[in-house]
Amino acid sequence: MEKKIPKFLYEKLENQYGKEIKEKVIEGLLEEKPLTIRVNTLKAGIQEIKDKLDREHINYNSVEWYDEAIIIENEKEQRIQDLDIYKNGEIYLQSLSSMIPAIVMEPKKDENILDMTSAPGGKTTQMCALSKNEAMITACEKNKIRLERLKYNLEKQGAKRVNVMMEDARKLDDYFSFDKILLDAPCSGSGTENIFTQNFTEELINRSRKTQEELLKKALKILKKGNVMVYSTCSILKEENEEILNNVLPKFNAKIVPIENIKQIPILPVTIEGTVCVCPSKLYEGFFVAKIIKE
Amino acid sequence: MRNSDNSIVTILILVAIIAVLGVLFALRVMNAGNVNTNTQGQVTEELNKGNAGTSGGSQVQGTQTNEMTEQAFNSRFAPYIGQRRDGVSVKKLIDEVNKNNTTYKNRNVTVEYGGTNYTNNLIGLSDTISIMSQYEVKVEYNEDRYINKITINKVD
Repeated sequence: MEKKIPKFLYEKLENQYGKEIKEKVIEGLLEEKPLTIRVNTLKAGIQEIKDKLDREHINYNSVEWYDEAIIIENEKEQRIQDLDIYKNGEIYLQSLSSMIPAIVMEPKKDENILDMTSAPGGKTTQMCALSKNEAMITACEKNKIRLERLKYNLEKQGAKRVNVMMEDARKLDDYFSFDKILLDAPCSGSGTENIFTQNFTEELINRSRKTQEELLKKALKILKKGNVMVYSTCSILKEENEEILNNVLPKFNAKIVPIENIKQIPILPVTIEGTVCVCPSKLYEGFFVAKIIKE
Repeated sequence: MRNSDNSIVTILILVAIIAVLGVLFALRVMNAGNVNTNTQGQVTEELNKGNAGTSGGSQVQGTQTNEMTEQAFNSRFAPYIGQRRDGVSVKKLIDEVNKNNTTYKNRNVTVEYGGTNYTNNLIGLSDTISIMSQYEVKVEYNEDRYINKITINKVD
């Protein structure tokens, strides 16, 4: 893939972050990312997986802030997909940044959790693993093909207590009510390799904004009072992140719950204190995460 | 011989045959009795063995059970030991200790964090652990080699 960054993104990044940080972001976006996996603790132990990688002579590094994450060195995706640990669902290929929202969610036993845009299921299965399959998760996905992928992954990863719904989460009945909600909103992917595709346009950003706002409104409608939700995107543009929060949160008496920064993760400046925007880098995709409480 | 004599001889022969058959039957029954006795003996022996096995086994198994239980017990906490463990793991550890302390009252594990010891209210303790921080996790064992104390320290 030719790595050419669209001109309009340069301008947006410079407007938002200034010239110096923009350069850093661009550098990070152009970096080739290593493969990263998450150990599916529903099926295997962390050391067990490391031992198996050793036996396959696969080099890896641990991730200080999350023991279940492993960085694979110098291997093609296919090599990992050929391993039994992959075929058996003992590991899941997942970017480091995208592991953050489920961690911030802290899913617990018997909590009734909605994952609004669930497919392909990385974060859903991570929540299952984090709660030891004891949380009750409703996994929503509007696209039939993606829904099938979600079901496949749930099965493969040994996820239990997940109720799958083929539904556009924006159209969920207000009758529903959840203890926690994860809204990993559809976005332009401005923090990822998506920026190198023809798909990445200003029009995509505008369309995403509309969907994000509608989804967040719905989430806050059906979230129980006094409870928390997580809003995340793989975009580093404030128009898909802070601006959406600023537009919606006051209407629902919702506030930000500060997320502590993880010092090993490179971050970008944010306009709402307590939210986290991961800076694209050698290891990380650009990613935005906010924890919200409905008062 | 007269007819009456023949009859007497026949009767005697029949009596003799019956007597022999009776003896044979009795012997068979006795043998069968022996078999039964042996079987019962075996059963009894087996039961005794069983008892011995059970009590011996109890001791042997008891020892094994203790060892297994000790291993099984400790293995629930051991994966979380380390100099730099993430907050998610520490929360899982506290959850594990909480489950243990509510299930096995006689084998409670104390968690020390920030200079305070916790055996109850572990959910409250879990809430104070940051998922975004790292922690050192150390354990101590009692004289039976069961983990009885876990010390958690936040790492800068």
